[in-house]
This record gives sequence, structure tokens and C-alpha cells, in this order.
Amino acid sequence: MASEGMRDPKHYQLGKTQFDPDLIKEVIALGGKNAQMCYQCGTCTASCPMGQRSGLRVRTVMRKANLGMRDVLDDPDLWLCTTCYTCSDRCPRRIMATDAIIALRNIATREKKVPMSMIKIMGAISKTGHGVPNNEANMKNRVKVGLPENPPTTHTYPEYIKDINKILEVTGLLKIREEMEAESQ
Amino acid sequence: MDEEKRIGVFICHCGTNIAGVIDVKELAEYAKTLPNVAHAEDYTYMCSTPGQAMIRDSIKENNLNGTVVAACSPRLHEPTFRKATEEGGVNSFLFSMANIREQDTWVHMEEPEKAMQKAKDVVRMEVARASMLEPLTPKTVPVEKAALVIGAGIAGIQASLELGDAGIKTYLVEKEPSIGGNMSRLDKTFPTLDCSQCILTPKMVDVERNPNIELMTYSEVEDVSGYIGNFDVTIRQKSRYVYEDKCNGCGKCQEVCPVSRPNEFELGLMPRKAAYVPFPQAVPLKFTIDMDSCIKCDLCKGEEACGDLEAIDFDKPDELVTVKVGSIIVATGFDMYDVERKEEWGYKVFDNVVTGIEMERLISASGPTGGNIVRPSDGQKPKSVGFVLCAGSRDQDEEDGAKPYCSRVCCMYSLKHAHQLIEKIPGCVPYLFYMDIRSFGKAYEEFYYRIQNEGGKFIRGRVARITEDPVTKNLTVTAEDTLLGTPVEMEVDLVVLANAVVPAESTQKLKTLLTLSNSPDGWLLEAHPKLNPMSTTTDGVFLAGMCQGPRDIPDVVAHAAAAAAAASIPIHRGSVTLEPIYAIVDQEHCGGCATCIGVCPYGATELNEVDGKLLANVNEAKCKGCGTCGSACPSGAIKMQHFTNEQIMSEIEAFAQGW
Repeated sequence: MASEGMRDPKHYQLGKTQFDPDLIKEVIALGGKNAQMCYQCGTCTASCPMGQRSGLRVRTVMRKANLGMRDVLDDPDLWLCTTCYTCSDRCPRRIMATDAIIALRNIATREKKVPMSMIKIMGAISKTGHGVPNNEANMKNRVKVGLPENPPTTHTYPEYIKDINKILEVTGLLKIREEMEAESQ
Repeated sequence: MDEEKRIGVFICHCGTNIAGVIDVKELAEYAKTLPNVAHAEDYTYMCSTPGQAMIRDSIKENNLNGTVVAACSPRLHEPTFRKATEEGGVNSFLFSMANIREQDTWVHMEEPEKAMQKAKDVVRMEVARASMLEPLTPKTVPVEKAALVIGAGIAGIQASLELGDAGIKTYLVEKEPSIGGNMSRLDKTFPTLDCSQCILTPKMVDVERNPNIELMTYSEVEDVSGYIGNFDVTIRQKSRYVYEDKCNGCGKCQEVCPVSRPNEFELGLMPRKAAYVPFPQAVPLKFTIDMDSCIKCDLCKGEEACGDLEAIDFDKPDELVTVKVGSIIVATGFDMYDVERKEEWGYKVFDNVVTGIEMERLISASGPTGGNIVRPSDGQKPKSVGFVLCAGSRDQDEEDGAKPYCSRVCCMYSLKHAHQLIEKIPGCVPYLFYMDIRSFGKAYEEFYYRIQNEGGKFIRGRVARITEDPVTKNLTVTAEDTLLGTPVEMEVDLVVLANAVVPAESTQKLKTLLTLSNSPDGWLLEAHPKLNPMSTTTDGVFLAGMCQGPRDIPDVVAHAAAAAAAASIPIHRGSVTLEPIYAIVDQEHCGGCATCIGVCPYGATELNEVDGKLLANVNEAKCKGCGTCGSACPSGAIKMQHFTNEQIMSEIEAFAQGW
């Protein structure tokens, strides 16, 4: 139908568009406490330091999660949250919005909707135990303030990297990574 | 009680509330099988006229001498069915109510079979109890033809005027030196914009003039004893250190007083002297000396000041006055939420962040700036003003002391502030940051329309943060414009926090004195939220105004008039009927141990010397029939009428028979 073809893809039609009422339940079960209680005041978005610098709109994420709009899982902005918890701190409805975002990321990962940039970070974690490994500039700064070159993590104790990989394996992340990398090639 | 027991059981469908869950016909058939049951039937609405007639007629037709109605909570319809029983010619205390709605079909609607079993249990128990009930006769006691009103804001003033006009002697007690309350702080009132002073001060003067109203300002209720119709109230009249009968309100003491203190009435925006009236229109216009800040320089007593009037006495003590009243109205109002606790909005940190009530004083012609709206940092007129609505309302954050309820006045007073800014400062733009505009009253939505038409800007988003430019003292308000879906930062000259109203601190002591309770939100609890919002669970004590919950002036006035009408009923009737459900002491068995004295929450038990022997006695009027004394009495000498051991045991036995 021509008219359908001309419709803005963001033109949702209540009743026609398939909303998933279970999405919010899943978010709550995965730790997004009180997520169903959002009354869309926007305190979260306006509190969000990432929201000032990017397209991340916490309120919109909560809205979509509550309506069951699963395309929120495809939103690359979902991955910009730094988990600072300012939104959760100021929320007048005591919603743990940060935890809701983490829950949505978990669901997105399971559905292999996690961005490839995040998969690359997983590669760094698998290799070094760090998402952002130490580097020369950082090492110099550490020494300058009287710290050892490396923090007391897998950088100092590389023998524990295999345990971290165990976690990645048990949680299924390694498999997701392998499959996604294979698909992208 | 040797007469054969013939009990009628009446099962109510309550529409589908009960009949939609359980089989009421089966329940009626079951009831017929129980001992002493002579008749059982069911009906759609037992509380309706035909339902009540059914009970009345059935008593006569079937020669019943006891009734059980299986329906809702006795709190709702016990009086109804008692009356129906009485009309049938049976003592109303031979009726017992089986709650098969609130405690059964409502809570077990998912499990109808178990609900049916429970309904049978409850009916069987009440039939057993009804077989043991004894006829009782209510007592009547005379009522003192006087009333007490606590708090003289608009609610207390209105209630007192209604009572006074109805010919009832009314004591109006106010803790501050003047009556008027929070309403006297307001400039104009929404949505009609009549000035608060113009509509309130005439009422204040009426209170002073009304021959039936005895005004007791700078006074607090110290103690209350007694019961409906006969309350003994002790009132502490704090010393003003000024003889009210000698003070002519000339104000010379204030002129010479060298002490300067923040004026509480002006929320500290303006100073006052140690010798002061809170505001020039105060009623009564009698000066008060704040002894906490007085330096006793005696200037106020000098020739140039009070002089020959000799109205000032630094040694004048507090006075305790005792009055006897038939009913009491609590009208203790509200406090403002301590919005300083919301650190992200910077109140008391940034000069130009003020609260709604401070804004009232900044606008008021009698306020610290004479009605010139200026910002505190530099006295300049603000050209842009941000309003933070729901500042502490509709907020679940208990750690910050915020309140989950809607305060019901902030949307409207912020709209009014916006109007006044546009009117008084050409070019000034008010920005209202809101979640929902709740303009629900008469002519309120029209007022919202008007302010939008005048140029008020509405941004749908709750303010997340306010920051200050340390040089210009301008403020940046950060919120999300949720309708645009984007964060906005707006620089404004002044921010008004429309902070929540909260239950008044001063109400706490009264709660204990009058045995009142509060709802979970902290406001005083009414007898019924819809059908009896002005009464309390303490007979003879009524509520007026904000102390029961947030409301605006029209609602406060209506509530206060309703409270006055309710409070005048026992006074006009001249006597009240007391429930005969009180404890009685079998003096033969009483050992005078006084255990019952300590446990009674209502102060109804007393120890009297009779023929050289100490014996307990229960004041029937004060007793609420809770039964605590009866269960505490070591010699079993106290009997709770209508809830005797035998009656309760019969219920328990009947319950056990079903299992």
C-alpha cells in the first residue's frame, strides 16, 4: 500500500503496532525497581550528564519500556549511560532508572542487538580484564602521583584473566560475541 | 434469657460485590440449618428501603427475637440494621453483623470456594453470638452549650463565626499573637484575584465583635479531659507581658524598642521589634513583648512610650484557664515543606530562589517591599521568573521529607503569581515548569487559559537542577521539555519554588490530647473520607480546613462550615446518646488493684473509695469499649457489655464446630 509506504516509521499506531506488555515486567525482574511507576516528568533526562552531550533521553527510554516498544533495544543511545545514578537519585517516584537501562542492555545483548563497539570492548575485557586497559600516558600519571604503574587488578595479576573469561563464558557473553562476530563477517 | 431463641439471618448480595463471588442462596439455605435460626433469606441490597422493610416485617411474621445480617462492614451499616431491628420491635443490641464483603468476597474473590466456606463460618459465628446477646439501653448525657475551636486561620475563623451566629458560646484559641493564620500572609487569591486582606480582615473583625465568641490569642490548649458534651479544656494563655485591657494598640512601645528580630509573620524577610504586633491589621491589636529577645531596657515603659497607660508588666505570668465545652473543632492548618532539603534546587543557598509563600510577601502591598516585586540579591525587578511546581509534592522521596500527595494549591497560586508578574512588571516572562496543571476548581481552568493568554510560558518537565552565576546571581534552571523531548537550560532572574503543604507541627500534641489519629500521609484522619470528612473517631471532636488534608480557601471555608454544623448538632439537641458498649465493674469482685487504671487508653477508669474500700469504676461516657481493662483485670471483675466472655467464647466455639 502506497499510503503505508509513505508513513513515517516512527508513526506508531496504538492497537495496530505490536506493543509487548511483558517488556516492562522483564525490566523489573532484571532489577529496574519501580520502573512501571514512571510519570514522565523528565527529571532523569535533565539530570543526565550524558543527556547534555548526546541523544540519550532516559525518560524516553522509560516511556518505551513501559509501553513495550521493543525498538528501544535497538537504540544505540542506550549504551551511552555511564551509570552515574543521578537520575535514580533525583527521581520523585524512586525509580531505579539506571538499573532499568542496565536491564534493557541485558535484554538487548541476549537478542544480539548490542552494538559491535561494545563487542569490541568485550574483547578487551577478555584479553586484559579491562574494558579500557591501562596505557602509557596513564601509567606515567600514576607514577607521578606515587602509585605503581598498574592498579592491583588483572594488570598486576594476569593469572586471573582466565577467571574473568570464565564469567564471560558462564553468562553466555562469549558465545554471543562469537556468533555476532561470525555474522558480521 | 430463658425465652426460646428465634434468630433471623439476612444475606445481602451487595449487587455483585458478594453475590458475584459466592452463592448467596446456598448460604441462606445453610443458615437455616444452624441452631436457633428460625428464618433465613437473601436480597440484592439489604441496606435499601425494601431490604430494611424485609428485616422489620420478618421479625413480626416469624416472631424473631434476634437478627444477623451478613453483608458489609459494621462500620458502614451497623447503625442501619440496628434501626431496622428496632423497628421490628426487637432491642437493637440483639442484632449482630456478619462481614462477608470486606473480609471475605472482596479479599478472596479469586478463590470463590474458600470464600463460601469463610462466609459460612462467619454466619455460623454471628448466629452463635446473636443467641448470647443481651438487650442494652443507650444512655443519654447532657451537653454543655459551648464549643472550642483550636486554630484561628480562615478555617477556625469561619467555624467560630458559624457557631457564634448559631447562638453557641465559642472559645477560639490561637497560638500566635494574632488571628488570621496563613491566609493573612497572602496577597491576592485565585482565581478571582480578590485581595486576601480585603476578604479576610472583615471576618477577623467580626470574630472580635461577635458577642458569642471569646477570642484567646497567644494561647495553647494544654489539657483536654472528658467526652462529647462535657469536655474540660485547660488553656494556657501565654503572657504577652502586656495587659490586653490596658493596651490601646498605639504602637509607641514598638517605636522606642531598640531590639531587632526577624519577623516570623514576614518569614524573616523583614525585622520586627521585641515589642510587636505581627502585622498592622492584627486582631486583636494588642502588643506582645517577646521576652526571649527583650533586653529589659524599660524604654517601652517610659514617659514617651506606654507611660501612664501602664499596660506593660515584665512579671506578668502565663495564665491557665479552664473552660467546659460540648464539642471541639480542630483547625490547626498546615506548615510549608522544608524545601531546603531538596539540595538540587538551592533554596537558602542561592539568594534568588524563594518559596511560594515568600513570593506572596514580596507581592503583597503590606509586605517588606510594599508590593514591589524585586529579587533578593540586588533589589532589581526580575524580567524572567522560573516556577518549580510540585516542589516536594507528588514525590515519593521520604528521605528528603517530600510528600507523595498533590498539595492542591501550588498550580493555582503559581498561575496567580505569573499573572501578577505580568501585570506589575512590563515585559516580565514567567516560565512554569510543571508536570500536570491541576486547575480543577470552579473557574480554575478558565484562569489557566487567561494566564496562557497573558503570556505565561508552560514547560512540561520537572526541574532537575538549579545553578547560580556567582557574579550576576542569575539562575540556570535545567529540566527536560518532555513535549519536545530535549533537555532545556534556561537562565532566569528569580526562581519560585511552589513548595508542598505539610501537616502542622503544632497538631502533634493535640493528636494525643484528643486521641485523634492520622492517615498515612500525616494529615488528621476523618471519620469517613467521603461521607464524613469533618468528623473524627473521637465523638464530639471535628476537623476544619487543612489539618485534615490539602485544600484551597473555598474548600476550607466549606469544610469549616460543615464542621461547625456537625459540632452544633449535639449542642442544639442538648443531650447525646452514648453507646452502651462500655465496661462495667462487678464491685463485689474488684480488689482495687488499679491495674485497669494504667491500661485504659481513654482515661475512663478511676479508683474510688467506697465504705473504706478502694473500688474501680468505669466512666461510661469516656469508655470506648475497647475491652483492654477487662482482659487486664486479674480478678475477672470487669465485664465488657456487648462483648462478654460468654459471647466471645460462643463465637469461638461456633468457629471450631466447622472444622
